Amino acid sequence: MNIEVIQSIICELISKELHIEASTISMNASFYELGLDSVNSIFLLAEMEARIGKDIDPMSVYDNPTIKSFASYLHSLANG
Amino acid sequence: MGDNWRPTNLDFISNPQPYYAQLRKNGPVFQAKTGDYVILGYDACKQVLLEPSCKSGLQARKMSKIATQGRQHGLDLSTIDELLSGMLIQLNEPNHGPIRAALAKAWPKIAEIKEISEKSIHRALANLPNTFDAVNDLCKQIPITVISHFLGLDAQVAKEYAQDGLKVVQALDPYFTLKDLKDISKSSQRLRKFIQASLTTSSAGKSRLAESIREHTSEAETVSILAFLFIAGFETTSTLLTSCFYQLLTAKQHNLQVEESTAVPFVREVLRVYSPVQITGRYTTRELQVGGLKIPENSVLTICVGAANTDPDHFDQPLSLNLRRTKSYHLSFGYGIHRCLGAQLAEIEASTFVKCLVKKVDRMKLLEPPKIEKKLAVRSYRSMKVGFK
Repeated sequence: MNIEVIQSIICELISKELHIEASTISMNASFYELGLDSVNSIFLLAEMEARIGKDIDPMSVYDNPTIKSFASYLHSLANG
Repeated sequence: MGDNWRPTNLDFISNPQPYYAQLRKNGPVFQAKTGDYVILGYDACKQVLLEPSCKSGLQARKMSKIATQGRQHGLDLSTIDELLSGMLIQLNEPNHGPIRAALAKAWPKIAEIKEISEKSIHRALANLPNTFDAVNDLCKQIPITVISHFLGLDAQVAKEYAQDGLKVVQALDPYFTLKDLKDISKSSQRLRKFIQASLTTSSAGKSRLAESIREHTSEAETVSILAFLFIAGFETTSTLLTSCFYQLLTAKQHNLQVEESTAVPFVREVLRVYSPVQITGRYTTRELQVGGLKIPENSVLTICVGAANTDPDHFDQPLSLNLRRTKSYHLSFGYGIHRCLGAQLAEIEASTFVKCLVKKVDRMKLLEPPKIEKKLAVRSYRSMKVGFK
């Protein structure tokens, strides 16, 4: 799975979870700006775990706070 | 900004003290990247625990949001929500006061606690095999037997729910995954069923503690509160007993001499340095100045009592167990209106345990150091292998 695919999955999940039109989401937007909080991130991460087949540390969204940085983190996690 | 705030890391959980030492460089209070305010300093922790505008119920509030969102995802997580709302530490006034007062009035007296503790401890220590797992064969058995007695539960049956209690406590962690939540939900359901069944079929329904809260609560709330008392009665105490046992086994390496007469200060020092509760939470309902930092209204406070207890500005040589320490007022039982109702129960169990062990520990050796569960707010051990020489 390459980074672009992961980015688009994150976009899709954010759009579904936070009811935002996917085309309006910038890759450089921070999760905080998008409205992700400690509750809805639980469901988003669970979906993401199912898609990439790896456990994701709940703190990793805070370490990688944009879609772009989180995607590259997940890319190395999935291929590591 | 406290980039080394790594609370979900197993290293942090196993041995948080070196991390606390690093984090203190951010001051007694700092804002973590997670948005919450992490409180490490002794005075700062005490201040927010005493502050009436800092409210409890953070996790209960979060869990009810999670339960709502869970339903949208086709998941029923409502039992966790129900169970958490029965946890006294999650309640605020005016609900908290009357229930706490009723329980305090019905709470077992010192003589009774001593008698039951001694009986349970002697029985547990009497028939140990040559090698044993101190956590599961001893340190969990004792507090389960004691709390079951006071709640009128069948201790043999209650033991089967120890693992569920451990899971439910994880709901108090500030960070978890959906998988954790599903496990917690299953355990909450099992535990509720057990308490519910005990209330109708065993002496649990007639226990002094159950009777005392009935007039203040609905039947469902009574179940939640009793489930909470059951968990609170053994989870943290079994961690305390394991830590005491481990420190006794390794005392010689630290030039520590523990005798029957110093069992009480020893237990207090173990509580201080190896606090079973490491983290507790509050939220602010108005702006607050803490440890030189202005904290806005509606902020989450992550209160590290384990760090406060070893604050070098408050304790001399904070990491050493000093049985002659005169100023050993740890915050392991909390402080203020939510101070642990079972503090005395835990201290008596632990000091009785230590008094019995000091006579035997010279004939014992540590075979395998304690292994810890990946759980943040409340520390729990998984196993510790011990043998007779």
